[in-house]
Amino acid sequence: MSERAAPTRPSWFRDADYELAAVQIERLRPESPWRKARERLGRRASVRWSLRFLVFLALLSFLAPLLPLPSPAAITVAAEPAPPVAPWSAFGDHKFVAEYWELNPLDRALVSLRTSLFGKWRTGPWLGTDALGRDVLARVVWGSRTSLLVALCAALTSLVIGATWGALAGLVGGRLDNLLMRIVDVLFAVPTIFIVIFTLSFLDTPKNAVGQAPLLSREQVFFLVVGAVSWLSMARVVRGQVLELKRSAFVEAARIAGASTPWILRVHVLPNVLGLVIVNLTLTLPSVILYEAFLSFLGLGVEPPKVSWGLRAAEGAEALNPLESYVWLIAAPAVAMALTLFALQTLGDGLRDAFGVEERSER
Amino acid sequence: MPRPMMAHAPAVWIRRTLAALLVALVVGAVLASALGTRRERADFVFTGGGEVRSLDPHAATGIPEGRVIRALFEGLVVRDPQTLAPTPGCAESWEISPDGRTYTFRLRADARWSNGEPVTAADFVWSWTRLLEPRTGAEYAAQLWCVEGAREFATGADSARDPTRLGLRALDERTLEVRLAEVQPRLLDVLCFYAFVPLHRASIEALQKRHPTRWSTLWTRPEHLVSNGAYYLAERRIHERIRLAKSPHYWDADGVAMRTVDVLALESWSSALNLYLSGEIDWVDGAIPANLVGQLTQREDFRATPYLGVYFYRVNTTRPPLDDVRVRQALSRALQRAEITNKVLKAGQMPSHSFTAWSRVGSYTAPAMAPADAVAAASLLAAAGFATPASKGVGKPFPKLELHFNSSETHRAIAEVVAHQWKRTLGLDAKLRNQEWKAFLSAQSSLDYDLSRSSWIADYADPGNFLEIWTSDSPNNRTGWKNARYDELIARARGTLNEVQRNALSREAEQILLSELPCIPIYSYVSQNLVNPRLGGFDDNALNEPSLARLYWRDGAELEAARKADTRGKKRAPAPGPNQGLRSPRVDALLYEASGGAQGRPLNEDER
Amino acid sequence: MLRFLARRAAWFALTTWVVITLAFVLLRAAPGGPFSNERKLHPSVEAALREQYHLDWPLWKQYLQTLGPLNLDERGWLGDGAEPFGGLLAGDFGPSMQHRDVSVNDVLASSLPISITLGSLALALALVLGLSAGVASAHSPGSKLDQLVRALATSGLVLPNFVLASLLVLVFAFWIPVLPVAGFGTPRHLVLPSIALALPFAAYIARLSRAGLLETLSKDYIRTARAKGASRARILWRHALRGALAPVVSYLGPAAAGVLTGSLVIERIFAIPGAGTHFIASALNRDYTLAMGVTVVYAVLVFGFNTLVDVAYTLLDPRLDLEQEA
Repeated sequence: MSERAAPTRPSWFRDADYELAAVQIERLRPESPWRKARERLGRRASVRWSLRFLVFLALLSFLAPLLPLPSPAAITVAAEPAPPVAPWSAFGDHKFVAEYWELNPLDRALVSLRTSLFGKWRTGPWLGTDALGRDVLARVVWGSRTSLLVALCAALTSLVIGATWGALAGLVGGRLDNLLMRIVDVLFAVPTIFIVIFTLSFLDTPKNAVGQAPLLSREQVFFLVVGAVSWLSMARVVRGQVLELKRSAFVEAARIAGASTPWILRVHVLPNVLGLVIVNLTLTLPSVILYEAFLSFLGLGVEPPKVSWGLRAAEGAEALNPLESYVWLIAAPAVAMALTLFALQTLGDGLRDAFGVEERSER
Repeated sequence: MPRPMMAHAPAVWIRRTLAALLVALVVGAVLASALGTRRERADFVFTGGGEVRSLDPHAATGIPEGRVIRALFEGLVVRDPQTLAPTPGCAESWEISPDGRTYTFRLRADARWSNGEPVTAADFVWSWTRLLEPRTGAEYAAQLWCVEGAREFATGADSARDPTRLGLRALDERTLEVRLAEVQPRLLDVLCFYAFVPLHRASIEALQKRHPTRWSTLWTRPEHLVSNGAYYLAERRIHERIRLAKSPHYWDADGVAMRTVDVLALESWSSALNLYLSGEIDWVDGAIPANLVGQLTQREDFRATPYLGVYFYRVNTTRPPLDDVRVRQALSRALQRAEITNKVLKAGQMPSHSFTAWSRVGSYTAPAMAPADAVAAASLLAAAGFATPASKGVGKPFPKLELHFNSSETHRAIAEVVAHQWKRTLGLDAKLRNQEWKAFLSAQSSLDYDLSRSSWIADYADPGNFLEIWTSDSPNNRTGWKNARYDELIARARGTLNEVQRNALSREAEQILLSELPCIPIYSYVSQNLVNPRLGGFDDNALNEPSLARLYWRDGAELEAARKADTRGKKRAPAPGPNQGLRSPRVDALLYEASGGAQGRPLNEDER
Repeated sequence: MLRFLARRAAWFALTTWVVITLAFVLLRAAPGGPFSNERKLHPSVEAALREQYHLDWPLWKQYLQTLGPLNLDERGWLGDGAEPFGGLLAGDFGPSMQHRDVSVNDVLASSLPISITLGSLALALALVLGLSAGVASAHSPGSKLDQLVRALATSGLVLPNFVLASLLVLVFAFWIPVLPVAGFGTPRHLVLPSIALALPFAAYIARLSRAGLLETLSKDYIRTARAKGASRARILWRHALRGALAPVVSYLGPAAAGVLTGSLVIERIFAIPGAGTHFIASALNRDYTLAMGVTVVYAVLVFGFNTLVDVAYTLLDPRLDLEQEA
């Protein structure tokens, strides 16, 4: 087992410089990047807190049906959006109505568990209600499910297509590389809205009868649509990294020492590329969430009654006006989105430092 | 090996270039923006909910275009802004033959184009011929197919197209004769529409000669457009604004107060509202987001007027179980429309119990459909063989319906409430499906929907305008519903001159419509206008067509008087504008006489 | 350099052609057409309109007509008399199918300069803000200043831009009424939209430049300069900036094309008659001619900036060989 040699530390090096120097040295010895990464990840407080927040958020959204929140789809046709009421004034009441959109079996089980645990009790309007009487807190929490799921699935789609594309191009090189990258260039130059509209219409298969379930639900269509426009930068980044690794010193050294190609791939190339891919994934999620918000602004997003942060933000954006600002309608999803994206960015930065990956853009 | 020496030279070079580039960018940007020419604010600025896409009266199809074209051009007849009745426009009088098939219009002697030339009957003949030409692709051409020879002209073969066979004749410079093949009792109302304005033949043909292939995109430019209305086109900046200036050659130039009018193209309602609240716009027309209506209805400058439009859901009658009339009736009767209009829309819209908007159009009173009744609805559904909450397990479960609409906040809210109401009263599930506009239209046309949201707005106050779309051959039917008796009644009504008989026939037809329900009417529209209180001459009417030529600015005294007379008890709103008023010479002269010389002024020599 | 540019020009032509074809296919494959409306046209009228714009031709013929340079229409383009040339290759984008009396060239000529003005201002602002933030935080990595600047920079990336724009309008146009609410015409009108447009880019540039600076600062020649007694500030400004610029430049390339063609959200909220609206609206309205025009403009800008970036890259790092790069 190799030991990390502690470099002597000059007096004018600050902590972060030292860290950086250590990172540089580490890159020459990639045997166990995972262990190093985990160590380095835990070093900064902001990264730790981001991780904790994200885990908490993931749990919260997964367990959303279990929480004693009001139903996010139950409409009481009120006249005006109601402002938030502090928890100590209205902690809860007993008017819960189990009204949801189509839920999958696991969610249904969670809902029935909730009803048996809490009965008809539900939390009060801690974040206010919107114009149709729906609780904003419930919609934000349930919206996190859609947003995170969309983000994850879209990112994974972009990963599958993009990383394969880029790795193939980088590894094979030559003519195939040229062709594949030119296709990426071309797709970059086509305005994304064309691709979105085309994919939406292509996947929105017609039905022939009332009640017939479409092949793909609108949400699934959305995953594919957003994934289809996000894989391009992943491809470029992966290709760049693979190319650099191909040319790098330790691969040369390994080759000279007589190592076989599969071994080089497994030990040197793959861990480094995976590191980059994970980092990029964490950093693609925010842009996917923002793009989903943009599509919701245009009206091409998730369908009601399902809710996502983007949809809530778009609905709430109209609320920002000088006459009467229903601030809570926009503040809640905006803050939720901001916190999550912030945590994702910080985590991504931490991962990047941990894996010793350069801050690289798409070229 | 990196060379420190090399690192030195490019660094300075790079920094300097970067700095120079930045400075150049900023200066260039600021200069270029200054080129966006700061001009004086126009006397009157308004926005009509979107961009004016075309100034060609034959190609335009929308409401924002209609306002501008009506300001630029004037047809034979114009609508009175208060009563919506046809009043003399370019034509000073007309005669209708007893059988209703020949109209003779006498044009004004002082009707002039913006370049000073007189408007002649030949201009009208040429323009309407162009309108009927299929190559122009005019949407409203079909309204003139009642003219002799028009239908063959428009739909026949190219070789058979002979403009001299049309029943349009210029008897002399100022007399136009229109002969009809089919009786059209409301021809004058039809001719109020903006598609039937005259175009200046000489200038267009000259342009065609100079630019044989590009003239169609050049003739509506400010330097080429010749129009005969109260205003001429001073400036057109695409997607930004259109500036109209008062035409000195207009026959009623004394009656026009606003010297310049700006029409803005604003897509976002909140920017329109912001600009209105900061005093940059004087009139905003558009669908207000439901959130804000509650706030705005309390202000004195908010005007909600009944509008001849109806919002409804088309039902795909070719898809079971929607092909069963009992199911359709059940769906309609289960709805609490008042909840939608009072809680979701809140601007005074009226729940619809008939297809013709507001159940009263002109002298016509519509029949009412079966009233909302949750119990009756449930029993209808049970009679059709489906399970309802009351039926206790008897009957098959109703399949999941899909409510189809195009992406918009309001449509979404209404669809959610409708689905909620059906769930409450009938226990049935409905999904929502939204699509972007063109995909939505395509799906609707190919009958790929269960229930699809639609609206219909009339061209003039006549029940036929509403009921005609449900005939079997109407391209606006799009539900697969056919009824021979209905078609017969509508055809007979179209050809009946006597109004009482026509109304009776329309009533019978609507009765059939409301019992078959290929559509589920939800509510009748109101036009929602935010109008500066200082603006005078703004007439509310059922088609939301105030006359731009009649607008003026009230002075302080008149504004106070108007506010005192307003008994609605609304909140005061800021009324920026010229405190001394801006009136047309004619109004000034009237005021002068009425106040015995204290206010206003007499007409000048040249204005008399 | 010349060979590089020549080869680039050839690739540019080829890829632009592929982009045009792809956009053509994507647009025509989407349902709906430019003339469908709530109020459906009479079939004969619709047929006449479609014939007018050649929408009744087979797709391959429409494609060739769009591309040009030969005008395949015997009747001439919406008029009498035929012109032998037309289409994209002849620089004629045709009439806009949505604005039936305006040509696409007119629409683009009136909207592009506005977008470019706004975009340039936003880019300049983003560069200034981003670079200063990056330099400030690289000056003392790990310190409180660094963390603060990083937090601020990230916050530019976490809100959707329509929320940001609405907030800016609310704060600076209504609560503190110093700036106009919307519109375009004076330099004051440019302030809020360019800030709204610039913030996300500034945030990203800050991150990139910080990382690039740190990377460069750890290089050998910096240590040499340090050993020779240069102050930290001097090192940052004279030597390390070049390293900071490399990732920024390579990011800016594709991003600049996007910024300069405008953003629909900003233009809608601030009522700016730029080209960003046309990008989205032409697709949503199926205005085929305008959409093709917009695609060509965008492709030209993207490829142009990519080439600029490659050239700039070699100036920044003389080790790179343009020939190899191509």
